[in-house]
Amino acid sequence: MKFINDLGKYRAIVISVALFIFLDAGVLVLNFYISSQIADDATNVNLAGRQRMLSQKATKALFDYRQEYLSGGSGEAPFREMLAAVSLFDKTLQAFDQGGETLNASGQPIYLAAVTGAESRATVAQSLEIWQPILRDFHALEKLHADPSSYAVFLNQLVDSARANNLGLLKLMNDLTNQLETVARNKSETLRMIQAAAITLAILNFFLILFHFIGQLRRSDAVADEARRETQEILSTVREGLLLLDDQLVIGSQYSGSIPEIFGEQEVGGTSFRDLLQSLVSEGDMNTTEEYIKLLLNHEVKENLIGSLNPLSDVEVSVPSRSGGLQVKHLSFRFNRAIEAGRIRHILVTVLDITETVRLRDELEQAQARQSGGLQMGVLKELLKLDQTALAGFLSETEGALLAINEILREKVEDMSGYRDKVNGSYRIMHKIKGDAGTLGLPHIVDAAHNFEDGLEALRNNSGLKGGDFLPLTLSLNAFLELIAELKEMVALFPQRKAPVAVVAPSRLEADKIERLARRIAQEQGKSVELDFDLTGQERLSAEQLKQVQECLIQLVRNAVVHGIEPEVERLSAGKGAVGRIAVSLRMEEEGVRIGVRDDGRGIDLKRLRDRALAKGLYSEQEVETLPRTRLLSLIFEPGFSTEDSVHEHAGRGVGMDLVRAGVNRLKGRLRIANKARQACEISFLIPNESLMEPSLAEVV
Amino acid sequence: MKRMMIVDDSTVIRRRIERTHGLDNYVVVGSASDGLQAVEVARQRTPDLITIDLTMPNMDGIDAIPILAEVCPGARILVVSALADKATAIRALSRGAHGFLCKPFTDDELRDALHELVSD
Amino acid sequence: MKSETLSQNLDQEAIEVFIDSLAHFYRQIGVDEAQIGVPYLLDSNKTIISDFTGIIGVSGKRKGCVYYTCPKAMLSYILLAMGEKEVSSSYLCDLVGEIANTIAGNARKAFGSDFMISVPVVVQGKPERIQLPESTRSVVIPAKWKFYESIIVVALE
Repeated sequence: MKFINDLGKYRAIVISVALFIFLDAGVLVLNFYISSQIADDATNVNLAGRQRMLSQKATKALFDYRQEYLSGGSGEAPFREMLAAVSLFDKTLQAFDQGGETLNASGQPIYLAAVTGAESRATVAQSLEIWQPILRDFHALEKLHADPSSYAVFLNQLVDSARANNLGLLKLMNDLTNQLETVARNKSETLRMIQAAAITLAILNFFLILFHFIGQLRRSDAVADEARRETQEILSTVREGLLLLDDQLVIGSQYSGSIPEIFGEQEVGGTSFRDLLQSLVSEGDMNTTEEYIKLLLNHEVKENLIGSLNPLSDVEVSVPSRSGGLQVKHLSFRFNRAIEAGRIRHILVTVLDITETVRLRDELEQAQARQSGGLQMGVLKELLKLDQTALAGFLSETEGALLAINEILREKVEDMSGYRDKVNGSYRIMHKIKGDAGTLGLPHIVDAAHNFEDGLEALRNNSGLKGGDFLPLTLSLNAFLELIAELKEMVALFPQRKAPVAVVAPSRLEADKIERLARRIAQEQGKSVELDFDLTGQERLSAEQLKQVQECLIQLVRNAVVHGIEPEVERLSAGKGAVGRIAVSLRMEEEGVRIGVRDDGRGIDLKRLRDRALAKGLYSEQEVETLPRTRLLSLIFEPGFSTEDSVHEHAGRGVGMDLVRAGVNRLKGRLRIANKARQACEISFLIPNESLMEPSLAEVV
Repeated sequence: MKRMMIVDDSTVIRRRIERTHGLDNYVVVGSASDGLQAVEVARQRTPDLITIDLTMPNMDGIDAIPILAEVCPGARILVVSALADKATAIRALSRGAHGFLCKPFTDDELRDALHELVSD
Repeated sequence: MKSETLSQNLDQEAIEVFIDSLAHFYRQIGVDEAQIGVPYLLDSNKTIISDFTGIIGVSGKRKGCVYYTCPKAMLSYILLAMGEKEVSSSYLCDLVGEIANTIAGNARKAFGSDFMISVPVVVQGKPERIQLPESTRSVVIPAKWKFYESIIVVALE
């Protein structure tokens, strides 16, 4: 069985041929068998036929003998003839009955099998019945031969008996002959049919072999053709250059179509790898490469452990181009073992033209450089429009603020709340930078600050805040510092630039800046506003205080425009004028200076505050309902608490008000909110007298 | 249990290879800080596996490798070196080493390289 | 700012690999993990150096260096925790070297041919060989383990 299984695809054909031989041999054996059977049957039929003749011969001899005997002759010849016939007949009949020997036509002894078949046996039995008494009489006649007295009488009786039975016996022998003939005919008929069937099968098998295997051969030829064609197609379409090297580093005859394209040479099959590369890489590299390939051919060396040594993983080459000149290309070679039956037969070389990849990479790098140049140009244009002194002050201040954020990051903290403090502290500073940049009209810096705030926002929402999470922020901070440093360098190059002034604190509140900011924000939000300023009494504030107040006012005005003033349509439908009014005031009161921003907008919606407080999880539902109005209103100064749903540049992070509170705290002031729902809102703070400068002193300043 | 020998003039690298985790099937039977010493230690301890640096005082890896291959015919040799000069590394390998590991390496890389080296 | 994003991402990726490698090292020697603190910036003219320092040079697409520095007490603690009997200087240097090598190996694996990573140099005390790029601020990543603070400093141009 194993042998048959080992034959593989030839199994079917071997089995079919074996079957064909087997059938043919069967037919041959059958032939022998049939021939011998037919010969045996022919003998039987002949012998049965001879019995017919013998019965008549014995009867005729008996008659002749009586004739001669009665006419006084010796009758010797007919008598002997009669006895011979009787003896042969008897012997043959016994043989037909029991099986036994008799003599054939030429007098040779021959073995006869007993007849089979009911009919033949009955015929033989019937014959014996008639024959036995006749035979006895013949034997008796033979014995009486010497006694003439009773002999004639007995002879006459025998003749009568023979005459009486002669026809019956002849008929029986004839029947036997016919029956044996029929048996022989039937048998040979059957045998012939079997023979015919076997031959038919053999022929069918032959045709089967013929058609099946011709078909199979055709199919396998077609498959081989297809495979060859596909290989050819793969080799001609594959982008990579593919070729095989033998152990002498000679290139095989089959290689991909891109090989000539890559190397600018048409026929490479059969040439050495060295010839292909010689003009492209240095002699040293070529030697190293050959040594490397030989390492790969050495089965002792582990392929996986030498991949990093491939000396041709990225090479710049100059190859002849179609136009006849030289073309610079970047090629990447890979070398792999081609293992067949456990032996390294070839080295498969894959060549990739990475020129395009390299070009794209270079272009990308150049584009990045250009883009940053473009950004700088944009910022530069912004800067040129600005007052140089103010700009230098802003840049120094911003740098200081960014370094202050770095200090906040650097402070050692122990727990989560420490991380939160870092986020909130950074937020306040960054928000101020954004406000200042917005005021100065530096959208690029506003963008940068906004992005930074996005990062902070992500941290604020991170419930499992860890130190490593600050990394993107630290890197943004670094990038921001680099941007500021670059801008400082640019500003230094401006021709009309005056001597650098470190930090210029305004000695008066800058109403025009606040107004510009308010108008810009309103415009962006599709609103219109009008501002009124009453800033009498600001001379009572120190430069530092004025700076703080200015910052607070920026945040408060921003808040009024974003949260307070409604869009025009809404204002009109509420029976208000289309233009929102914001009043910025600084006035002396008994206890100190009150600074406030009042708007005629929608006021603070207490219900939304409650919802927000609930959503932020600051209070339970019950607590929120019973919270005093003042406590509820003060929520707007909490870090991260904002009622604006979407975050945009100007508000929505809840940082501005947080900043106001921090500023007011520094001024040792007290905050107050006067809110009339749907009508107006004023947020103000009082700087107490003890924090103010003496009027006389103020005048000196 | 594979018998291993470490040849490197840097104690950091020697100790690092010794300490690499997951090398339960290896036992360090000797170490050497230059090629001459390596040949001597290899003669005495007959390691199955040798990791060897290329640049070392007295006798460098390139010269030591063929001698080590002679002294311990059955040993597998792994070149452990920075990838500064591919040609030198390839020359070292063609003198009888079986693999190359680039410095600095991670534990996984070292482990994989050693397994690869002793596999057949 | 947008132009910074690309190199910023690269830096972030690189620094995260350094941080992960350090965490991996602690895991590997089977001690508690180090707590990574909030990273901050350091001026290029300043360096923070503890008792033992492993320095890895970086060249290729980004240039500069990365170093890991930590107090002697911490290294002794780790060595003893690992079952070493001896805590001589050379053993302490080895350990810092191993840490730096883990970081360097992972970095080389992560960045392939974009970065060329040198074999670490180990220095005890104040090193003279640390050369930080002049124009760039370094990023300092503090890592707290037990009572000790070690830091990774990344200075890439």
